[in-house]
Amino acid sequence: MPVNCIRCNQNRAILKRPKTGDAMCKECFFFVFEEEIHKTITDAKLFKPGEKIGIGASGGKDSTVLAYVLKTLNERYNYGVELVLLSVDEGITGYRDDSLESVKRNQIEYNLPLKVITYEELYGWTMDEIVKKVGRKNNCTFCGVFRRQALDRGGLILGVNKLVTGHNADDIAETIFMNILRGDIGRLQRCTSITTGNEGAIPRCKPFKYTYEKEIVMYAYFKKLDYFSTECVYSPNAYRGNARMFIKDLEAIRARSIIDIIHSGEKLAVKKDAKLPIQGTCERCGYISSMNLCKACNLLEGLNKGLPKLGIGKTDRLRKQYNLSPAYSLNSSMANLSLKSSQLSLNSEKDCNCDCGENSEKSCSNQAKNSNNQLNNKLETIVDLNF
Amino acid sequence: MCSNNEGGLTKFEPKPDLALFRKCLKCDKNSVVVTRINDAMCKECFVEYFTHKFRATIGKSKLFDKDEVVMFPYSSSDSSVAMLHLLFKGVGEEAKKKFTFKTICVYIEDNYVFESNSSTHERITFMENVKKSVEYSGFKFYYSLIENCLEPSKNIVSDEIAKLNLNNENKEKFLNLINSCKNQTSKEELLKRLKTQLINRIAIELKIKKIIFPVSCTNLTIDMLTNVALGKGAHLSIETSLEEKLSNGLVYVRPLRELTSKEIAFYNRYNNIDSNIMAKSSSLKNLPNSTIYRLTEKFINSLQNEYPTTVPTIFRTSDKLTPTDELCPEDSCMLCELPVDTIKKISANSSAINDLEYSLSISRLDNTAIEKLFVLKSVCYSCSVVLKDVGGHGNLPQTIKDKIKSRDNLKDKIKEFLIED
Repeated sequence: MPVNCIRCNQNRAILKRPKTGDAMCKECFFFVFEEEIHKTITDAKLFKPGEKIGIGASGGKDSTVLAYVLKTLNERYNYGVELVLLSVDEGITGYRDDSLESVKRNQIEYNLPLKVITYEELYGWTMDEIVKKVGRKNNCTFCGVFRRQALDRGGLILGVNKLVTGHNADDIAETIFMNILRGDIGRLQRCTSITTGNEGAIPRCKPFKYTYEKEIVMYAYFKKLDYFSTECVYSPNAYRGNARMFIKDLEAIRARSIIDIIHSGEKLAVKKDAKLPIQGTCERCGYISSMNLCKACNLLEGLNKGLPKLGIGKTDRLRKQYNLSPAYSLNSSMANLSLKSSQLSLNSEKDCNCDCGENSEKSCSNQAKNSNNQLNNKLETIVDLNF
Repeated sequence: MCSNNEGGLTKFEPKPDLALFRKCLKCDKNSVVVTRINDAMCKECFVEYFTHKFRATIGKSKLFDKDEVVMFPYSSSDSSVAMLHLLFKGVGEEAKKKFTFKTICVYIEDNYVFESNSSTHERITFMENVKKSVEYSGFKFYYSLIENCLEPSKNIVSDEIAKLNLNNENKEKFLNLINSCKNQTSKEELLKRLKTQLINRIAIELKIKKIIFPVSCTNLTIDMLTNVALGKGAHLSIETSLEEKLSNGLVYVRPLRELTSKEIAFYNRYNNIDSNIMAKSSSLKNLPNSTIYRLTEKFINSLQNEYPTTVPTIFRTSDKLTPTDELCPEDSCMLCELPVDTIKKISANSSAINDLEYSLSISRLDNTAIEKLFVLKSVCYSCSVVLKDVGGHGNLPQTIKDKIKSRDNLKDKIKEFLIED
C-alpha cells in the first residue's frame, strides 16, 4: 500500500528517515536534510561572514555531500563565506588516486577551488612507500597522524579560517565508544564538541555532527551525487572495526541509539582531579602536541632512520634503545627539565644524535640541512600556487 | 574515521594450557587458574586473593559503621551467590577481622512472573529452594515479589514466603504493564527500574539506609556502555560508583565492583556453591541481539576474550568521570530516580536534544503530534524514551503517579515565587 509523505501529505513517500522513522517523499527529505544542517550551523555559530572555509574533501560520500550542501546553503542563506576544497593525497595507488578523480570532477561541477596536498611533499614519503617499510599492520597509525597535520598545513597554506570535515553522527558515536574502550579521558571530553582546536591550530567543525550516515547516503543517492566508495586497499583498523560493528548493531535494534549516544557523550564530565594530558607544541615542528615531540615527528624520525616501529605504542623504550632524545609527556615537564638540559649538553658534544655514527658528523648535519632546504623549497612552491 | 593513536588495546595471544605448567604466583603449588591477565594461582591462594580484594574494597573506604544494618538484595545469580558466601565468611569464626555491620537479605522473585503456564505452587517451590540454598549463611531473609512494585500499600515484603500475596490479579496487572511496552529494550529497562524502585521501598520499609549490590566489574562495564547507548551518559558515573547517595537518603554500595565475572565464577566453583545459582540469565528471555543490554553484553564479552584489558580499562574510565554540573539534583526522574538531564543550558544551543526536537518538528508538520514526542517533564532523557514506549501510563505504579501529582501540587503552591525563564 503506498504511503503518503508525513510532511506534505501529498506526494508518495519513497523513503523512511532513519533518524525519526518518518515516511517521506524525496523533496521533503531534501528539504529537512538541508534545513537541519543549516540549523546546526546557525545554532553553533559555525561561520561568520567573510570567512574562508576549507572543506576536507576525500571524494567519499560524506565530504561530497558536505561540499554540495554547504555550497547550496551558502547561496540560499547568504552565509557570506568563501568555500575551498582541500584534499590530502596520501599516495595510495588504487584508492586515493581514484577518489581524487571524483573530487576533481566535483570541483568543476560545483565551481569551487581545490588544493591537493600530498604526503610526499610534506613528509617525503607516500603511504605506498610507508607500507613497504612498515607492513600492513599499524600503517593506519601513520596515515591518521599524518593526515591530521596535512589538513592543518594545507589550511595554513590556503589561509582558511576554519576547516570543516564530513564526520557524521555515526562517526562521533563510534569515537565516543572508542575513547571509553581505550580509557582516553582527554579525547572523550573533546570528541563531542562541534568545533575543536580553538587554541593554536585551525578550528575544525563538524556540521554533520547530528546527521545520520544512512541519511547522507540517501541524500547522495537521490541527488545522484558523484562520489567514490571503495574501502582503503590497506587493511582497516581492526579495533575500531569492533566499535563500528557495535554501532551498526545498536542502530539495528533501536535507530535512535546514535543520537542517544551523542546525548550521553555531551553529558559526560571528567573529574577535576583526573590527570589530563597538557596540550603544548612540538619542539620540532611547532604542531599541537601533548608530548615534547609530536606523534608525526616521532613517526617520521622512525621512517627516516629505518626504525618504523619507533612511534607506535610506547615510544620511550625504543627511543632509549636507539639512543635518541627522549620523548616525554608535557605533564611531567618539571621532572624532565633537568633531563632535557643534560640531554642538550650530550647533544652538543656529539652535535648529532642520529644513528649515522660520530664520524659522519659532517655528512649528517649536511643531510639535515639538505632535507630542510628541500622542505622549505617545497613549502614555497606550494605557497606560490594560486587560484 | 582515522585519528591519532588509531591502535586499540593489546591483543591477547593465548598460550595452550597456560595454567597447566606454571607454579602459583604466591606459593609453590601447581596453579589452577590464571587471573588478572596473566597471574597463575593455586586454588587456596586464589580464594584468599578474591576474599582479600572484596574485604579491602569494604574496609578501605570505611563504608559501614559498627552495628549498622545493611540490606542485600539477593537474586540467586552467580555474583549474588558469591557475595552471600563472602559476607557469611566475613562474620564466621575463621575470619581474622570480622565484619561489624549486620546483613539482612531480601529475595525478590522475578523468574516465574513471565511464565504464564506456571502455577503459583511452582513459584512457591522455587522460592523454597532458594530459601534452602541460603540457609547456611544464617542471615535474616525477607521475601518479596516483583509485581509488588505496583502495590500501593506498605505490604510489600515479608519474612515468610507463605505470607506473600501471590494472587494472580497482581501478577496480571504487572504483566499488562510490561507487555504494553512496545520495545524490547524499553521493556528490559522498565523492568530494571521498577525492581530498583521496589528495592528502595523495601529498604525504607525495613528502615535500612544502605543497600549493597553484588555488581561485578564486568557487569558494571556492560551497564556503563549500555547506559551510553541508552542516552544515560549523565548518570554514568553515578551508577558505577562504589558509593551512590540517592536523593531520598538511601545509599547504594557496590563492594564487588573490583572483581570480574570470571573471578566470581571460579570463586563459586572452588567453594562448591555453584548449585546455589538459580536465577535465569534474563527473566525476559531475550536473545543476544534483541536488546541493547544483551548486545552490549555480547560485545564486551567477545572483546574481553581477545583483549583482556578491555574491562579494566573501561572500569578505570568510569572512575575518572563525574556527574556534569548541568544536572539538577532537586529534580529527579520519576522512573530511575536520578537527576533529570534535560535542562537546557542557554550557552549550549547546539545539543542532541535540540537537534532531535528540531528533526521531529520539521519532519512532522502536525504540531500536536510533536507534543508527545518531546522529552517528558520530570523524566530524564533516557527514561522518556522508555515511558514513550509504554502504552497507557494508567498501568504505571500508583507510587509514580502520586509522585507526579505531589510534585505538581508542590509547584502550584510555590508557583508565584518561581521565576520562569
